[in-house]
Amino acid sequence: MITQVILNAVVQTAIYMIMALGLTLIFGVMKIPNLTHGAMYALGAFVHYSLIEWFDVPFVPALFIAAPLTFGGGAILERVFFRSSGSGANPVVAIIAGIGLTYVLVNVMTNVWGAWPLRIQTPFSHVLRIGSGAISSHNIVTIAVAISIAALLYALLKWTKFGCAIRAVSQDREEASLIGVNVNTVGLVTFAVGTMLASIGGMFAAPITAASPTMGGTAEIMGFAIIILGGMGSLGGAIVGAFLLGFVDVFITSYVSGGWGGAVAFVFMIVVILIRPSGLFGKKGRQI
Amino acid sequence: MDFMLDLLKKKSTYIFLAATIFVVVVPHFSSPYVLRLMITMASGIIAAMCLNVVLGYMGYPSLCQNVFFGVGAYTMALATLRLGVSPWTALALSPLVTFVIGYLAAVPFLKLRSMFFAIGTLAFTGVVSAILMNLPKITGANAGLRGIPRLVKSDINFFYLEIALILVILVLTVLMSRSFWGKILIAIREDEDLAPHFGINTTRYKRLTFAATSALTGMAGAIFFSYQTYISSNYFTIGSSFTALAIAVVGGGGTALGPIFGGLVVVGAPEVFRGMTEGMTLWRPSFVGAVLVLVILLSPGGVVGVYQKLASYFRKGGAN
Amino acid sequence: MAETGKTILEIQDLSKNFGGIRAVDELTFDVKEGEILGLIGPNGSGKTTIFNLITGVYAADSGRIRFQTQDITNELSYRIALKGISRTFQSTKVFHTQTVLDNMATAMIARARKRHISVTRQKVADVLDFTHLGKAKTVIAGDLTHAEQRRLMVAMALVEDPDLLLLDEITAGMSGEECNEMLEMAKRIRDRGTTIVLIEHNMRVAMALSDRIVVLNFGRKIAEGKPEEITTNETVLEAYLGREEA
Repeated sequence: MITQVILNAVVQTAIYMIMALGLTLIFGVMKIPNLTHGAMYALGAFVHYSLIEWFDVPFVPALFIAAPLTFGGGAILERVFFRSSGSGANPVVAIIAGIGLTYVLVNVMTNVWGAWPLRIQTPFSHVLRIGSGAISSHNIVTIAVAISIAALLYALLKWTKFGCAIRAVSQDREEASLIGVNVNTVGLVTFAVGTMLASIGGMFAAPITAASPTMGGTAEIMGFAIIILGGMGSLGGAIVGAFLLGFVDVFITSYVSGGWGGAVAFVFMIVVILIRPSGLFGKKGRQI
Repeated sequence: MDFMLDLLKKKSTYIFLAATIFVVVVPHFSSPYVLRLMITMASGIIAAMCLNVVLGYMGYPSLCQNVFFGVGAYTMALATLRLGVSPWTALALSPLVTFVIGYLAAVPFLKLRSMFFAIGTLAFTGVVSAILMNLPKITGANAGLRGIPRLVKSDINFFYLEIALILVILVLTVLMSRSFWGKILIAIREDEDLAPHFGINTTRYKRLTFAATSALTGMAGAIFFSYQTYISSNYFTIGSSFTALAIAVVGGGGTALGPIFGGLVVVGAPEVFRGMTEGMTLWRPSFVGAVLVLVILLSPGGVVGVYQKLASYFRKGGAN
Repeated sequence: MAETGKTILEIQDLSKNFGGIRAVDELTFDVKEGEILGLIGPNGSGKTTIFNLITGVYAADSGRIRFQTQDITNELSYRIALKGISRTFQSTKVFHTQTVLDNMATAMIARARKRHISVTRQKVADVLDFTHLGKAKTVIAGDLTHAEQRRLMVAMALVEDPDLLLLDEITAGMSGEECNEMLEMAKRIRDRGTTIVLIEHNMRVAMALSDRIVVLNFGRKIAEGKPEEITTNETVLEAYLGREEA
């Protein structure tokens, strides 16, 4: 039994990790919490679904088409709605705008795709037995994707020029612009990447939990719980936080009761916010 | 006599009269659907008026108004159904219970600022939502509780009950904003770190304000669910916690009347479109969301802010 | 008002750490009633931290602060203010979106309710006169000139007749003439019976105004005495005056 629970926890962690990495990236650069993250998580799943069902694109190629589309979507969101909040001067405006946009997005999704959960078929349906538990190849692919994304992001930030720019802006926006970094472009691309990651998370989660317009709600708050726990703006923190809360969520759901996993994560987050808002790995300087 | 003539000259007199006529007459000619809409709008307005004090005057973006609406509502439901008290007793109890819960929540959460406060209260909503959903023996969870006794018999009287509460809150808000309390809240909003240096006990006022507004929201919840006679945890998910916020923001923060206009726009306006196209109700949340985004990005002062800007623009002689 | 020789504020072995940095290091000094005490020292020597410790913004790690023989070491900010300690800030902290009158009202709220409104009105009129802001009553604070805003800050700190006033670099950003005005004002404040501790970067103002001076470096007291003694003190010259912008 426990093997199964652990396997489930790892998969859940993977999905949360993809979400959280995107969210922490956005927060690190733009200093605002992105409240459209959950809606884009859901939208990613639906766009992917549409490519498969309406255009007969197979699962994997559809991923590669849907991802850039969501990247574009994120870029539009940033440019039109969040650019002015990008300096983090008034996060409340960004929060409320995010809420409003989520309203719109979820409503649009409900009207276009319906409120009922949609089953999405994955070609990775082989089931692997490990000990007393089983894990589908889809879940293994999900885990692999999560690890790759984490590794890619790490490489991007550490070894590329653009990654340097991202780190500069997230440490000190004004200084960065003074040394010639185009802060607006960095913000735009980061936001778009973050949104794309949320969507990818949704694309992989959908075959497991079915796609519905509101699937992003809890995932988004979990994302916040994770990045607050791990330190907002810290990649390593997002990874550790995803593990912690992913395991807590699944273990509580499996051993205690279905509905409480999320609630426990929220309580964790509230406690962290109260005691050490900078999280486990965050730097004190990065707060509001 | 002069006094009467003066009164007739003021614009606000006519607006007040129009509003009174609207409130007194219209409900009698409305279909049950419209009446339900008006009652729902009134509830939203009350919640928004309370949120408005916390967000608009005090500067704390609370995303958990819904929680207090629910606490009051469940107090009404549980007190009448399980303890057998009369609905009016339950109505008296609901603000008391909600005040306590509000105060207890205030202690930890008001230590947070701005964005963290918003996220923290959102998480709080999630926790309470989970509690409501996972204790079916107490709360009836999804299936809910039926048969909550009505405070008054007719729908119209429920509407008047809510109007009464709105008026009370309106008066309290105006009195507050003109008194020392209002000044203290504004000081907290403008520069919370500066205020204590003038001897202002910010902690006390923050907590009391938060708890008091929660209590009034709870009362609105109790009234609404007594009207509906049915309650379930579905009404209190994270997604549903934003209506009050939408109304408060759209109406205009920091003004007493703002939430009323906000309610009219957020709840009422989409219904106007209803007559025009069949599918309009499907798009109502998009409408609300779009208005919210437009307002917060373009005119954070909300409807009242736009009105004030227009008014001063015209006063200055138009394009001059 | 002549100095009475009584001690109004006692700082005893006060220490405060931030992370690994010792901002204030076992600091001990007294403030005598009726005097103007100057706190000087290079940037980062802990001066504003001391003000923050006195007014309850930070909690001390060790040591004692006594005001009029009461221990206020870890007291809450608002209570300390009510006991009669007021302060101004290095950056201009006023309520920028409010009028001058509203700013004053906020400064008095905690105490205004216990007395008649006419008393409050008189106090406001007096203090605005005193700080040369009488004509600006309905101006939005953000629209005032820099020097006027800083005078407003002083007015708000002064209006409830504090026994002790802490001025943090009050002349920051002021022209020579504005500095002189401020100098005069500070003297008049002292003459009315308020003890002043001031942090000053402008050496001319500090020397001209202070009855006594305490010099800090890296959170420690390195010298204490009358202005003329300080200017000739070796340690001080080494640590600080040598680095002063002329």
